[in-house]
Amino acid sequence: MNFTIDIRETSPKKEPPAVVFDDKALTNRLMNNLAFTSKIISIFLNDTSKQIRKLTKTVREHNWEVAVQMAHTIKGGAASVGGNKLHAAVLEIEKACKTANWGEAEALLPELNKQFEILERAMREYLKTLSRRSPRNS
Amino acid sequence: MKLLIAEDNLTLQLMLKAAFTELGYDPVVTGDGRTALEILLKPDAPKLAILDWMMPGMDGVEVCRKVREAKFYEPTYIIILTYRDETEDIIKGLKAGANDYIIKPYNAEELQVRVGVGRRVVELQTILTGRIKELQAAQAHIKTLQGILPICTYCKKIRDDKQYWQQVESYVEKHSQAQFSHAICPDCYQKHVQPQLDKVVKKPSD
Repeated sequence: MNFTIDIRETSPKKEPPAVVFDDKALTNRLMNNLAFTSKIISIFLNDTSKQIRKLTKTVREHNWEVAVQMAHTIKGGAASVGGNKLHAAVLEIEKACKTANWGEAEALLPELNKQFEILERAMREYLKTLSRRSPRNS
Repeated sequence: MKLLIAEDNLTLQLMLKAAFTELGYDPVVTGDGRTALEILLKPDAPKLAILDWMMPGMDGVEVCRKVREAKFYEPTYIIILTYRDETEDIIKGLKAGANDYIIKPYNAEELQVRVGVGRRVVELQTILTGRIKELQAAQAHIKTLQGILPICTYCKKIRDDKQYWQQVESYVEKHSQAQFSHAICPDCYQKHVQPQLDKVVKKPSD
């Protein structure tokens, strides 16, 4: 099952498909262990929300080095769990931070938060379908 | 086999740890580059490592460079796992001494087989290192026996490297795999044994 909320867009050659949550990519990376998939999603949501808060703070403080590092970390995590739209949003912030374009970086923060909320909803929906499929996976 | 996973993103760190534990590896995990370097420089360090590029403390490429500078007898097999996909990044990573370079988001099966390649290389390296050590030990033995040995002109004892005088037999037995069985050569038979026999034979008629 591909748990897609948004319609796929035309993507550049190397970029992952523009879906909110590519659950197949995540389960593949976890060797189709659905029980562990649930745990990873919970950890990801908890950890990423904290990291987004920290990133927001560092962008507002114009802390170049930490902001680039944080954006890169969030981007890697989002891509690994199949959070492709969140990945795309944070990629833009990373680019803006690298060029110290703080105005643009700050302007992109609401989009980052929005994409995280959308991904969180998609993941929670997915978790519900998982628990319906197999109560042991809940 | 121990496998170092150096990745600062907690989710990805746990994903890698779970997948490689499932595959029978013994993962050692860290979220920063400096700790990764400390782990890799220990005597019992993992010989297989997955390093993220961008990490707090020290980046993965720098970790790789420092590990290579240490010039280990059994070098670590290092895989850089990063989101940096530009050709110059790949060249930079491999020039720093990485054995392989994988771009995120990774394909699980590809990562597993590439780590498997690393495992085979490490195992082969361990076998070769064992053979080299055996050869070096054998060579050291041969060198000891080939050198100039101080020998007493009168009693023929040999002086060893600790300045002790030893019987020729014990010296050679200690420094080679030769063993001595005692016998009498024809010259010594004539010189030592025959006179004694002659004495015994002559006695009854005395």
